[in-house]
Amino acid sequence: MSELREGLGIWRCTACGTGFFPLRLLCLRCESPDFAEDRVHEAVVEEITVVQHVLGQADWTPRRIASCRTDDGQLITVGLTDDSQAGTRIVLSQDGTAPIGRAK
Amino acid sequence: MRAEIIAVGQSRFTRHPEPGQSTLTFMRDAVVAALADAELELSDIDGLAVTSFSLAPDCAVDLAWRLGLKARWLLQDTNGGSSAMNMLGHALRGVEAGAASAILVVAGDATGLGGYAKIAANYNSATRDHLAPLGHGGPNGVYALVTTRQMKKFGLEKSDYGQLAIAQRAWAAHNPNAVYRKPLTMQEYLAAPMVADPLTRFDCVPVVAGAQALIIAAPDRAPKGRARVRVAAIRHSFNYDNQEGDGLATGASTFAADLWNSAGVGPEDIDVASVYDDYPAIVLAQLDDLGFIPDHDLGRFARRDIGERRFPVNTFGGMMSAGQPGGPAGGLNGIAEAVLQLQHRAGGRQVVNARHAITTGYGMTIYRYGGTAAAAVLERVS
Repeated sequence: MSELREGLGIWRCTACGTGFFPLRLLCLRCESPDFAEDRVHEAVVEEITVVQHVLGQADWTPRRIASCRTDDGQLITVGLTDDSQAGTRIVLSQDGTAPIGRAK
Repeated sequence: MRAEIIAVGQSRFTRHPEPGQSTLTFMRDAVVAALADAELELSDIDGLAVTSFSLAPDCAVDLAWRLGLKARWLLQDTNGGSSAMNMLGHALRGVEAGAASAILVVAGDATGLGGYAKIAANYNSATRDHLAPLGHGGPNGVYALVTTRQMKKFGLEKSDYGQLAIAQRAWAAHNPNAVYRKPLTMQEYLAAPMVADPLTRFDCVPVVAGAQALIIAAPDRAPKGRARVRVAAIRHSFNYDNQEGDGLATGASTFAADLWNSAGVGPEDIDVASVYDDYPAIVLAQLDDLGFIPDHDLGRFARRDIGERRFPVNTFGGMMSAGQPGGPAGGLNGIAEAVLQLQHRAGGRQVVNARHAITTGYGMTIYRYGGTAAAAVLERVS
């Protein structure tokens, strides 16, 4: 596991300011190809699942993943490290390229 | 020149391939079956379309070489659950344009469970980088979230999805090629082990090894005395909403009106449907998008129209009972079933007097849900 970083890296269009995750090639709003990295720090959980079983994995530890919406509007799938529920406001972090969340 | 689907062929579908069996051998078996069904020789074929998650490092031309097929039209499709529909459209246009006279359309996979897991974790760069490290479990984790969203929006119960699984299993009892044919009860459905809540075992397609093939050609190449099946209309959608929606409307929502207008019939005229069933929620979403649920009461449609088998959906058992040899071949299975139904060759699962069918494709989970969709209206030609 790589070092956990606070916040989640997103890509913000330098022309119109719209933020994206994952990275796009052109801005969906203004078609600019120029992006700068930015970070978002909070989101609200919308749906949750617990992955209980995975094909080909005999020893599997259940994982909680969630669809959440950041304050900036990105819809992101995160791994939850606690028992956050739908509606919970979470703080975001980043493990390598993986988005992680826990209750604020 | 008008092109039609003149033959279908299927290999054995199996959960446990034997030593020596591979994606290529299953494809060969499907091709041999399709040629026999068409009453044609390989030398009559001059076009090939193929899709597979497990053909690499071979490509379409390698399959042609291994078969001994000399072609003047070649296609390899990469659109997952929409590949079958995509290949169908290209092959129809290929014959109609004169680029080929008879095209084999083939899809198959023999990934094994371990191979499937690797594919699922490396489906695209977004999955590899941002989902797989979470332990998302492949598409099951993604569609668990979509299903939860659908249940909230439409007030669905878990048992509503069970209606589809149970109805399809009942159809599968009459399909000797289905891997699961034993009747399924609601009690068994609801008691099944959890995979990724709310998805349980019977909501998830069983991975199998196998292949399916079609032959597209001018009607005069078809065996004499067999009912003809033409594609009245076919439409596709790719990346319809940039993944900015909720995934509860599919790309079919973008072309449904155009599809029906072009086909000259409407949802009320459809006798049998092959709807890509990677997950029950996506079946309901596609049927809603295509206008089969005008009041958008998905729960009632599941309980009454599907559960009571008033509307025949996935009469071969669907991928949920017949098995999914990779998403691409699963889509081709549904098209082949529609052809058999319209030719009145579906045996014990035959829908009486079937004249119109719809077939769909859905797939390529880009990030939060599928980014491809397709549908075709098939018609029995009198």
